[in-house]
Amino acid sequence: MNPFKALYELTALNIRHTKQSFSMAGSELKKKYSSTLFGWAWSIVRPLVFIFVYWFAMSVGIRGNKPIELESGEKIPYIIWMIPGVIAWFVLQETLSAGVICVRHNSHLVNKMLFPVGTIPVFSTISYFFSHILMIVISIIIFAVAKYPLTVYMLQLPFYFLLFFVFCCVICTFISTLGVMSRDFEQFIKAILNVFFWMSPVLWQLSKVDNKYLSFLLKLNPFNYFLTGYRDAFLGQAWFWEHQKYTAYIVVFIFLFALFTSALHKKLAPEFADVL
Amino acid sequence: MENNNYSVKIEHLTKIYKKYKRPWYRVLNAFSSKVPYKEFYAVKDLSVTIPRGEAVGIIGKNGNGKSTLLKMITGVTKMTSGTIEADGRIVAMLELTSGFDKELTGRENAYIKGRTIGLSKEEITSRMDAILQFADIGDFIDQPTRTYSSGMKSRLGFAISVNLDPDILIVDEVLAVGDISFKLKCLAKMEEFRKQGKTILFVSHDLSTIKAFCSSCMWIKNGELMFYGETGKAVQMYQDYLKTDRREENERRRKENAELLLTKDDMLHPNKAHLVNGSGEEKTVFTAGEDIEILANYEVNVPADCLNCAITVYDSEQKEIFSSDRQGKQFSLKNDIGKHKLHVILHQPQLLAGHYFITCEIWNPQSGFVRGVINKKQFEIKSDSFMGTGIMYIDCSCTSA
Repeated sequence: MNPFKALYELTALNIRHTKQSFSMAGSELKKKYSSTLFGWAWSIVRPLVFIFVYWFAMSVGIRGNKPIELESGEKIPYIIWMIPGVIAWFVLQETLSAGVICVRHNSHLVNKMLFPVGTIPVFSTISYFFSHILMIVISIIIFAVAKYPLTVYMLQLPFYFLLFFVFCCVICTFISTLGVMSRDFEQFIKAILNVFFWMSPVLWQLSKVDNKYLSFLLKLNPFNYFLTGYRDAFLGQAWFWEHQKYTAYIVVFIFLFALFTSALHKKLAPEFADVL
Repeated sequence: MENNNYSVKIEHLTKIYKKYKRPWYRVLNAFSSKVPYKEFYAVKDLSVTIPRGEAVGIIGKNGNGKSTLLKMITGVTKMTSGTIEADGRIVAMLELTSGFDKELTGRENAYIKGRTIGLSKEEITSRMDAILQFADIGDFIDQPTRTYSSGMKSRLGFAISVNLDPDILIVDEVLAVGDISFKLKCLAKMEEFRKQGKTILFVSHDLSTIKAFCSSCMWIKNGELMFYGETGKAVQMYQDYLKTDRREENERRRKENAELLLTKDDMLHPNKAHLVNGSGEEKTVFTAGEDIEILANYEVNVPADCLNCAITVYDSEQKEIFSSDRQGKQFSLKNDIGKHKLHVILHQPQLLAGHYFITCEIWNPQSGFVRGVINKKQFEIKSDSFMGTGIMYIDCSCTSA
């Protein structure tokens, strides 16, 4: 099997169905919050509560309201520093925990009608990114209210955003494919989610890690790239071309991962209807 | 598309379901071909050509591959080998819910379904009125489909399917839940389709509907096409098969039961029982009003907490006339290990002349264990004088003044 061809086919399929995917994503959201009083509001309540709790525990509790010191020597309130990373984490967490079952939950599309199965993970990811956009807007409002100025560096956010979206699409396709095949995988993802959260520098600074090798290893975690990127954009620290090697690493990583995922998907997707 | 004179052409179609010991093996199979699995042939080397404008009934027992075949024609399930050429737009109603998302409203589901077969939003909107009219579910169209009754689901599903303007309509066992008037409406609609030269594939277990509606019929057994052709003949063949199949099934079950009795024998073993009259003569014909007695020996091999005797008398049509109190203390028997004698007396039963059956069982009210001593043994009551008709004599008198 040619993975390049598989990737091309999967990408072409998704581009062909872009419009449909957006409306499916809309239905997904509607489904998720149908029959709830606050509807859409829930999708931001959870991240906000999360931010509050972690701010309280980390900033008030553990750090005693000490401001955080950036690599540039600048000192900023912990909560301001935390927000960009947390909103990135939140969408990744949803991609992992909901994404693993997205095909299984849409089994009627797989075995009751002729639906382009390869678009299910993508429209699910789009639906997760809808609330992500909302969170970005809210973060900007928080920054404004806290009188912390956003800089011209913010202009690079769309770059990180799009790359992050592609990254999540690939992850979602990968884990949902395995999630259809085995329920164990679903449990596995749930089990490692917490580990992954604390191993990623969401609430702590990578620059505080002294060990050179450990620091390098942690940087290999592709999610760290997006955490850094979001912070760079929000806090006005650096442009993405200032760490070309890291950006190149991520692009290559995503590409190789996408190749592997599309090959796997091509092989297993025809069996979806038999399994579900 | 006008060049072809067929609407669906299937050649050497085979579907093998792979059954793995563990779900993970399926993933491993993507990387290696050495993963062990069992094969299950859902459809086996099936070839058939269906001309345009046919209403094809598909019959066969459950699990014999009908739905798999339809799913493969629709394209939902991939075939293992063989080819299917379908000419035109296929709309399928696979199973009752026809793929509704139960959290979305009926209207939203209609849009999704329409989009998957390549209609634009505007095209679906323009058909919405027709769908609403046909489904006739009123305000429910804007409610989540999880609130629908099964009848409403099938109505909406059918309404959507027929209004999406299919060239080939696939209907898998959906009309079973609708009421009669809706069923007739559907059949009328399908008839209209057929006249327009559209093809309908129709799975049903209702053979009379198949006979009334389908212009041809295929019978699938164990994934193989047994017959394709005239409806009457196919239904006839299928019914014959069902009869023999049922008979074989019954025989098999009887054999199994016999084996079961043998094991019961080891626990409690009744010897041959006799029906006798009051003077101890073995008989099967009794005079009306005479005592009927059962004499038998039984051997208890396994300790039982308690044993009761239960008697049932049936009329000639094997309808129960009388059954003794199965829990009654007066019917308890000796339950210690060893051989015992059983003596049952029916005191002057008021049965009228005719044929009757009697059953006598020994059972354990605690474990539910039952062992027959006599199983529906026939006996006859004779009467010299006419005492009335029916099964039981009631002493009645009348006076007039």
